[in-house]
Amino acid sequence: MSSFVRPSPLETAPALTPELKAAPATPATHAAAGSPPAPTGRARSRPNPALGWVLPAVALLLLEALVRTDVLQAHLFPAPSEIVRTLFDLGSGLAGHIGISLARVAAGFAIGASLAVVAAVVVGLDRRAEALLDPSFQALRAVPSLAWVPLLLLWLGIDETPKITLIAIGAFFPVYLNLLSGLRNVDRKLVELGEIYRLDRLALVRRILLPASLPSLYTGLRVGLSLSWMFLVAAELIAATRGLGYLLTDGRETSRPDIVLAAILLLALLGKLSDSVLKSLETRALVWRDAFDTRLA
Amino acid sequence: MNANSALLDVHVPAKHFAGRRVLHDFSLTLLPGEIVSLVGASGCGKSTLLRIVAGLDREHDGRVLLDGSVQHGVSRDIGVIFQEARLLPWLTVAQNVGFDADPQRAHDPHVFTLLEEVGLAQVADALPKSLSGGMAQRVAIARGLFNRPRLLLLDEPFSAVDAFTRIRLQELLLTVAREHGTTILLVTHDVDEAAWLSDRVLVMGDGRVIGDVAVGEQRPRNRRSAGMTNARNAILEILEGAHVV
Repeated sequence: MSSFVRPSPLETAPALTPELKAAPATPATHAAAGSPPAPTGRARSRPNPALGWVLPAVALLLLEALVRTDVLQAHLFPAPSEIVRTLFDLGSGLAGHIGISLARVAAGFAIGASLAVVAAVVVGLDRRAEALLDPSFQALRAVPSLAWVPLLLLWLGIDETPKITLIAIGAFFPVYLNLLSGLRNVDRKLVELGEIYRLDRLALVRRILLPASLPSLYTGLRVGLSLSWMFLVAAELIAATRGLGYLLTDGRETSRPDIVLAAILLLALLGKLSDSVLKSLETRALVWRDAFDTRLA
Repeated sequence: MNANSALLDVHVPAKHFAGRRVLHDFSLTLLPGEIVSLVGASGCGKSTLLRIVAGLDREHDGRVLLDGSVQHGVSRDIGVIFQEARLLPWLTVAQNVGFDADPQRAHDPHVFTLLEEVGLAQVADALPKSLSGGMAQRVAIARGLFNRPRLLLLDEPFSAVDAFTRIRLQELLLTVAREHGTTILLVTHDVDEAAWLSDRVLVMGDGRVIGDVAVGEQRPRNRRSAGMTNARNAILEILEGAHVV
């Protein structure tokens, strides 16, 4: 964190009229202050977010054309318009499938991520806890997600519990590993500051270690959330009567590629949407970060 | 010097660090209100001594008396300012200054008084990332004074800023120290800085104090006066005599 110490020519201004080195807010204040644009980041015009829609739109149009001209066989690859119609046909049933999948991901992710935060803090703070717990966590992490499914079905039956448990397992490890590495990398000098202010262990965690590890925690949460969606499909593929994973199985069993593709499309949209929510929370929580990526964000 | 009237009285018979002896029969006494610098080459033990006084380093067989009472570990009465500002980047300037307060009382008027004193009241709500190095160090000075410490320890506080900023910060430090009646122990390798700021300059070599130069020059001091030149020369002579420079 030695990057705070940056000599600036502005410091030569009288001590009573300090100026902000850089406007913290908008690019407009740069222009207003008459300062030259920064070489990277905020001052440069941001690419239009709509740019991200170009590729999917072109692909969909191309597919539509290929199916309509019989280059692709419609019974194997339905036209995008067909998929849209299927989505409408599924109607209120579809909302139910989306709702149950969302609820499972939300519950599993919340449980897995919360347990991971507790585990990472315990292991990160106590060398004995690390020696005791970390090897087991590392071994469990190596187990492929699908390997848990039969065991969870045997133990927990086929209702919601095994599904949520599986998703929680998926969310746990990325959050645990990232937060632990964040805690390990907190600047020793900031920890020393906590010592000077006579913080006890809990206060040190709350006031210094966790805030300093927040960037790593968010990285872990975002990876954990995307794994939650992955584990959701693993859970719903095998033993479910509702949900997007069930739609995948159902579409395959009834030879309806339009249903399979519709489910895939929805998984892509929901995964992207939930990540965007988390990303905007991250951007807001980490405004204090003086890093290259936040300026571009 | 009469140790009974001293604010700070330190004696460290020996202190080893990584198998090397860094302090050896070290003694130091500070009177209330005094400004004292420790100068010496890198590795002469001056930063170690500061960490011992701050209570951050407790692995030694010496003793630290503050106002006659033995210190065990860190204390509200001793403020510390480091070479780097060490601001917490997720807190605003004001929150950093008042870090030691009850977090419920975020808007402590004392914080704003201190920020005014260091000329940063306007950036109270700014984040550290928008501050220059000199401004960040002024925030650190305000934070160091927040608990109204009897003794302020500074470890090469101005070595990471440019020459103009350094002069400004030295003047600021002197002003606020006088205003608060704070006793100061400053570690530096800058002989000019030590001479200009201090009532007394202790020259360190081989883990001990090898010279004690009283700077009698009246304040406000002129950096180019004959008195300042004499003080600087006296310090340099001791350093040269010890083959430190």
